Amino acid sequence: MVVRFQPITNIFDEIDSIFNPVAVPFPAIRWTNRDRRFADISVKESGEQVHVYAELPGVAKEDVNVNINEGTLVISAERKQPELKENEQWIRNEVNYGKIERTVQLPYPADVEKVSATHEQGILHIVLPKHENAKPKQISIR
Amino acid sequence: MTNGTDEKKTVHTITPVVDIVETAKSYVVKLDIPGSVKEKIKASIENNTLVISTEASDYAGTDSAETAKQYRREFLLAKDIDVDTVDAQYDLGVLTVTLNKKKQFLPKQISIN
Repeated sequence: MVVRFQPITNIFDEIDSIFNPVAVPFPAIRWTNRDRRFADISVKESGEQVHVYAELPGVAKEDVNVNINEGTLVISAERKQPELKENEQWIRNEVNYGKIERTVQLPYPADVEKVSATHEQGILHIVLPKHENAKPKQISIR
Repeated sequence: MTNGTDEKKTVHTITPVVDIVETAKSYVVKLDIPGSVKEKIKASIENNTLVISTEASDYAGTDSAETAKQYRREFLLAKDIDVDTVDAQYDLGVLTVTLNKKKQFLPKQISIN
């Protein structure tokens, strides 16, 4: 059984009654159940690097792909749906499974050869050094 | 930092999304808590309520001195859950809590003589 709740904003301190639905007369209300196919990202510029962080909980490293050309970064991933065995059943499913994609327009062209990425505890962290052309240049005055 | 003693700090509470699967012997609860470490995640059962909470990790350095984020979600447990054998694991940014059913609630095969 898959139960989905409609997204409603900002309810606090509610108690879920998933294990005992009879105990509470109204269903729990969630704002987190957005139908997401995008990862939440943060982009930070720091010195001569651009850092991109993407939240990809439950996604295995081998299911993450990062593609880049100079000004655009494309993160694609797949969160695989667990297969239920016989005599297992869904009580609640708020997690969205399937393909996730996110395109990030970089604030500066990146040096594609020097990009590095890690994926730890659901956070994909990509470090993109700025391309030579994007670095500030000192012009000597004669 | 976010224990409420610092009145100037605004704590935003994020409700993590949850998946729950019932198996023959247990309920498996999975919550998305990306970017944390297991030492920071608190799980407790009190008054038949499972409480999961953690400071959200500031992995991108977006928290300021005035704001912080935390994850928190509570679940009211039914009577068939054995609160003494709860297991929790954190991997890939997902917290998995396994709540075993009490023995007396497990299906039993009755042999017919």
